Amino acid sequence: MKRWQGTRALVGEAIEHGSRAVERVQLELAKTPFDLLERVPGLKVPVSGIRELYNTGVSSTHTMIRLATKVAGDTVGVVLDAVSPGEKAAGQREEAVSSGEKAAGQREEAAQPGSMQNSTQSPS
Amino acid sequence: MGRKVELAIGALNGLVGDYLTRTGNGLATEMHVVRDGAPLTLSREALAAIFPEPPRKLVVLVHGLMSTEDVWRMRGGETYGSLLEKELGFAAFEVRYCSGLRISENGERLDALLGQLAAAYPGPIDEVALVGHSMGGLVLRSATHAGNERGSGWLAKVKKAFYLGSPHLGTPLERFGNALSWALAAIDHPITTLIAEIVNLRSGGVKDLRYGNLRREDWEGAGADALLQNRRHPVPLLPHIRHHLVAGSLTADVASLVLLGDALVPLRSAIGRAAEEDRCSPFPQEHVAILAGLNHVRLAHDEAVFSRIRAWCEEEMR
Repeated sequence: MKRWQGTRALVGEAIEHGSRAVERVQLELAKTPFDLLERVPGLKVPVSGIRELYNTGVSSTHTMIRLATKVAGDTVGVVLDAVSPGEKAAGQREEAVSSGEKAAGQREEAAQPGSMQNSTQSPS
Repeated sequence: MGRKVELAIGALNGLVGDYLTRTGNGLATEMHVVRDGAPLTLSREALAAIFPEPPRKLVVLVHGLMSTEDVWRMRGGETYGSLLEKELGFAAFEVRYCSGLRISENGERLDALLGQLAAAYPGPIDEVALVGHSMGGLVLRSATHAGNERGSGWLAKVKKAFYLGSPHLGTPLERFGNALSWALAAIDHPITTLIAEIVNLRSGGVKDLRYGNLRREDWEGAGADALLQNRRHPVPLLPHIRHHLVAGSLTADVASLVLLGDALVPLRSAIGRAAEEDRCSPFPQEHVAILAGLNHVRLAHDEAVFSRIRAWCEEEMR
C-alpha cells in the first residue's frame, strides 16, 4: 500500500510541477508578441486588456488543473487508506520493528569487535 | 507481473530516487539485503536458519544504476553468488538499494548494512568478497572508503573486490547529458529552458557517474549542473584488498574496444587506467579481464564473466 500511496503522490507532484512549468512557458511565450503589439500606436490599451484576459485564462486553467489533481489525489489517498487500514498499521509496526533491529544490530556490532576483527590486520 | 513491477520501481529509483527519498515517497527503495529474491532480516536467528553450518566466506553482490538484484540472474536462475556458494563454499548475499541517491550516500549506507550483516552472521568470518556491477562497483568503493574512515570492523575481512563494467573514470553519456542541459539552459528561450530543466531532473546518482564521484566532498556544496566540473577527491585503493576489473566490449575489434567499450562504459574507465586529469587512483592492471562480445548489462549475468571470477578466486585460494 505504501507503494500505491507513493505512486499517487508521485503522479500528483508530476502534474503539479508539470502544470507550473507549462504555465510559465505559455505566459513567457505570449509575452513577446503582446509587447510588440502594445507598441503599435492605438493598440496599447486593447492589447493590454487582451493580454490580461489571456494571462488570467492561462493561470486559471492551470490552477484548476492543479486543484482538480489535488482533490483527486486526496480522494484516492483516502480510498487507499480505507481499503487497507490493517496494512497501514502493519506497515507502521514493521517500521518500528526494523528500526529496533537496526539499533540492536548496531549495539551488537559495537559490543563484538572480535567477531570481525579476530585478526590484528588494519584496513589501511 | 511482480518481477516487472520491481524492475520498473528499480528503474524509477535510478532516475529520480533522490527525489523519492527526500520526499519520503513510498516508492523509494530502502537499502537492504536480499536472499532468494526476498528481503532478508539481518538477525542471527534468520541467518542461522539459512546457514545451519555457516560458511566462513561471504560474498556480497551490488547491482548498478536503475536496476535490482534481478540483473544477476543467469539462465537457470543461478547468479554469480549462488554459483560461488555451490562451487567455492561462499555464503552469498545480494543488496538492493536506491540507485538514484548519491554514490557516497549509498556508500555510507552500505558500510552500515555490511556492519549489520557481519554482526548478525551466525559464525566466524574469514573473508568477504565484494562484487559490483556498473555503479555498484563505485558504491562498493565508496563503502570501503566510508568503512576505512569510520574504522568499520567488516572492512578488515574484505580480501577481494570485483568490478564489472564499473565507470571508475565516469561515463561519456552523463557528460553529454550535462553539456546538453547546460547548453539548453544557456539559450534564453522558455522552451529550451524547460527542456533543460527536464534533462536536469535526472538523479544525483546519475550525475555522480559523470566522473565517478565516490565521496561526499566530490559533490556537496557544488552546482550539480555546472559544466563538466571534475571535483573528485582521492580515494586510495586499500592495499589489503585485491581489486579485479572486468570490462566488456561489443566486438573484438580494436576500434570498437577503444571507442565503444561495452556501449555505456568506455574501456579505459572500466579498467581504471586513470591519468592525472582523471583525479582517480589508477588501478593495478594485473587483474583485468576484457571480454569481447559482452555489452554492459550482460556483464552481470554471463558464464564467461563467472568463469573469470571463479578462476581468480581459485588462484587466490592456492
